[in-house]
Amino acid sequence: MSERSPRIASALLRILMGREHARAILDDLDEIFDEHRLRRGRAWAWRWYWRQVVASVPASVRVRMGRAGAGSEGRVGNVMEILQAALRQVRRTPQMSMAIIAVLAVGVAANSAVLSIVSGVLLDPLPYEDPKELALLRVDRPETANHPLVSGMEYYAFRNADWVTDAAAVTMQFDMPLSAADESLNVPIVGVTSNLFSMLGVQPILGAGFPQDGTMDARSVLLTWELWQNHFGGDPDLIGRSVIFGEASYRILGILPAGFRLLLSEDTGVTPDVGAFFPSRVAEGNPNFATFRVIARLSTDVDRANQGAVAVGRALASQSPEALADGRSYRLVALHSDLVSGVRSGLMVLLAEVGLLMLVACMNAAGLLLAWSGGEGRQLAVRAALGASPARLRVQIMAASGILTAIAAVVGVGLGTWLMNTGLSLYPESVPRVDELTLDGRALGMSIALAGAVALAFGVFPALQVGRTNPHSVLRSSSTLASRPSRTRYSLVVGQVALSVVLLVGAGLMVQTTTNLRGIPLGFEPSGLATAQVVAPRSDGGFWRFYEELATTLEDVQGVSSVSAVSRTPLMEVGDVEIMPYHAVGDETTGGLADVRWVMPGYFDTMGTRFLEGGGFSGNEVADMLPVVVIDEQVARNLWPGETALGRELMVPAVWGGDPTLARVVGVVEHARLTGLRGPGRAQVFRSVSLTPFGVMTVLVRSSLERNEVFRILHQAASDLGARNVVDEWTANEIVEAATARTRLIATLLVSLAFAAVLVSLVGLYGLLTFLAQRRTGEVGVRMALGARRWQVERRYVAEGLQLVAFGLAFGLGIAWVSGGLIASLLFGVEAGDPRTFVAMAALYVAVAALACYVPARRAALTDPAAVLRSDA
Amino acid sequence: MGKGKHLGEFEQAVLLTVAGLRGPGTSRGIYDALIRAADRDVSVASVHVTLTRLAAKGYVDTHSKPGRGGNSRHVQHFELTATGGAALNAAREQWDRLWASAQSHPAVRQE
Repeated sequence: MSERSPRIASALLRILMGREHARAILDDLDEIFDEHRLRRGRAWAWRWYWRQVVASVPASVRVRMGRAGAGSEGRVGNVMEILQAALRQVRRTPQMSMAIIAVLAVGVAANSAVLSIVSGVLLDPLPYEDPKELALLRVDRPETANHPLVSGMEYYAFRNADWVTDAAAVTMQFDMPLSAADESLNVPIVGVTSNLFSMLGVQPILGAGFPQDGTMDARSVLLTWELWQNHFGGDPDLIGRSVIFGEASYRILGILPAGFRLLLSEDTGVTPDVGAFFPSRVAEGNPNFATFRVIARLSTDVDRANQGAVAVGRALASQSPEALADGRSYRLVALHSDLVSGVRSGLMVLLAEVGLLMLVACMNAAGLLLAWSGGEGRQLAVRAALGASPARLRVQIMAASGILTAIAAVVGVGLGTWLMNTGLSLYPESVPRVDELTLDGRALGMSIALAGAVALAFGVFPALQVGRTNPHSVLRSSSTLASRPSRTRYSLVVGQVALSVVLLVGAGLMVQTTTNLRGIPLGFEPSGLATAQVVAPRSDGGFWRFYEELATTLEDVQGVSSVSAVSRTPLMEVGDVEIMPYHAVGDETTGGLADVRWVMPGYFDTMGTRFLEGGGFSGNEVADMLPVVVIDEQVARNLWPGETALGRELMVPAVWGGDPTLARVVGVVEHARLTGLRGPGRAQVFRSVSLTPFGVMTVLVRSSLERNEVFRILHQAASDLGARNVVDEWTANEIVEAATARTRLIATLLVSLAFAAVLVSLVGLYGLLTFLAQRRTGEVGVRMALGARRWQVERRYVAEGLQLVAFGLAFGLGIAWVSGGLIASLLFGVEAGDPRTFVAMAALYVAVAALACYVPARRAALTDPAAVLRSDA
Repeated sequence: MGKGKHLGEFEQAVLLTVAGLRGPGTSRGIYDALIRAADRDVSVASVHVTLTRLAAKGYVDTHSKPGRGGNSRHVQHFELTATGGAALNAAREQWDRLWASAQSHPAVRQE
């Protein structure tokens, strides 16, 4: 033979057909292969050979099922008999079987739950027509990148772009009291352009949508199915009737389909619980009021659209240079990726980590299966010696592995569903579309297939041994155990240790991140602080008086120490932050951008923000001719480094627009984290709300009262004074907690995954050492008879175990170091490669591992030398 | 008639091929003759497995002979047995009866 036939193919055929059949077949195949090669060329012959191997599968099934054997004694028998025999086999080793099932089930559960979440959130298309064409318009302005709000002028410019099929605008979301039947509830509402629903491809299930012919009844409304069901009892006659929202009556045009939600990312301020949609017109001219979120349906892909956006931006800048030529640029972001942008990195980390856990579980199950097969080998040899057909025994042991996987799969499904439901219910607002998530069939299928592959691969080991080993040799050997643990078993344990250490490091880093977030100096005192948005009664210019009276009334209540109000709830802004430029008098180059907050007197005391210099507002600022401001330390440092800022003047925008005006600094406060915990945020300028009264303000109440009691008296006082609404009641502690919810969720999940992995890997280590100890009973007995002390024996086993751990640690810490970039974006105040965490987690692992090694070591050391020497060892 | 005695279609084809050889044939020779006659792709493995099964049923006889060219390798040779011939005859009668009954149908080619 001048050339070798495909080696992999022939190896495969040998596996498929079994040794005795394969020899004759391969002889023929090789002969024909050579002829083909000479006549038709090498490539053709190779293809032919491979086709032959693939075509052997049906024949191999017949052989494997025993039908090709010699007559009826080679038959496998019916399926039920095999299953029963396999079940007996599983039950004969209950502990081992349970362990295998448990480990595989944990892997299947965790893996399928996380895969389901990831695929549901990141992959499932949005529930709109052709969702891939939808995009959200975002603006990168010099002061705020990635801003979701644009003005009417910008909206129309994009709507008219020739690569935009259609575009809809969404106004700010707020809560409106709905008077329905005998109850009054606050319904989150938004205004939308009338084309929104047709653009999304959503038809009302009852009634009609907004008219598309340009006519618009401003006093009409579309309700969600959920609002209709929960508060109107699903009354079908509701269409055309009127309901009272706030103080006006609105005609109900239609009911949106069940489950419809406007899904926009968090920073747009539009939440999925919007219950009513009002038609809204977008005023074309004004480029200054950026209050619209714009969803566009693109007729081209996002990349091409973004090239178009540059041109639109240029046109806009020349159209309105004073408002729009500030260096801003526009981007269109696919609606789905925009929605999940906040959670993507977290989910990817989670996916990676759960993959590691699954690997650890699989390695562990593999080790268990190998140990199991070691024990089963003898049993099978006995049966083979008694005349059972090898084919039948093979099928039986495969069936036993199959049964273990099947039970693990069932347990895994239950556990996975439970994990997912509890996990998500703990943090309901942690990911978008959380209520749409269910255990995904594909995710489950993949996890079970993986577990099944492991079970088959390692369960079939003994199956292949059957018929190959000589029953006599197995029966003659006195030991019931395999001679020594294979190198495979050692590496499986090292692998488990390594991967669990990776998980442990990840968990350690996340835990530190949550503690760091908790420990940030906030610049205000959240404990004892309650906040709520209060809508003042409609009255011309009387807003100021209303809030002042509300504060006075509340401050008289026992337990309330101070009350104030501010234009924005701390840590709650969504999109529409008010930012203004400031600069030194006579020097426009020294200055910057600052967040503006309009506050009532007493704001700083109520918040618990410390004054560094001066004091707060009096409330009489209108009377004074010169406007006054309170600035934070950042502004003070910027304009007057190392000097006092008190009494100095700076330039700020005039209250009612126009040229910047002078303002005098009456106080300097410490910087407070009012926009986000993770960064210091922009400099802050506080102005007295007496200059420009607001109709909606966040009332701040500092008290020693219970949560419910605070909001009860706040409600009472507000409605006594004629307030139109009180919404968004949160204690400051709740707000701070919410700001860290996602981080804490990831930390919780990573800690549980790491815990599971460590536990599983320790079981693996323990199992291997127990196996070793049992096998070496004789050796230990002899050593002890020769004078070895108990602690010496113990030390030897622990050392052996820790040697494996050391290998695993080296690999694991290496992997954690290399893969640190993946988790880096989630961390706060700690580096992904933080040596302290690495050392601490390694030490933690060694400590628990030593314990897991000590137990079997101690058992080995308790061996009675006399007993061992008496036995046949 | 038990399943053990029934000749499957492929078994019949293989058995007929064995019968058609002059004298004992190797699995290789049977494979070549079969693909020539059947005009379809079959796998060497299925021919081999079927021959093993036919041997187990006693329809073909197997014996090893040294391979060609003084090759030390022993090759299995297959030859039709009397029982095998009887099984083929029985199968043919069965088919003939079915054919006869189908003759009346206009779509079936007349003999």
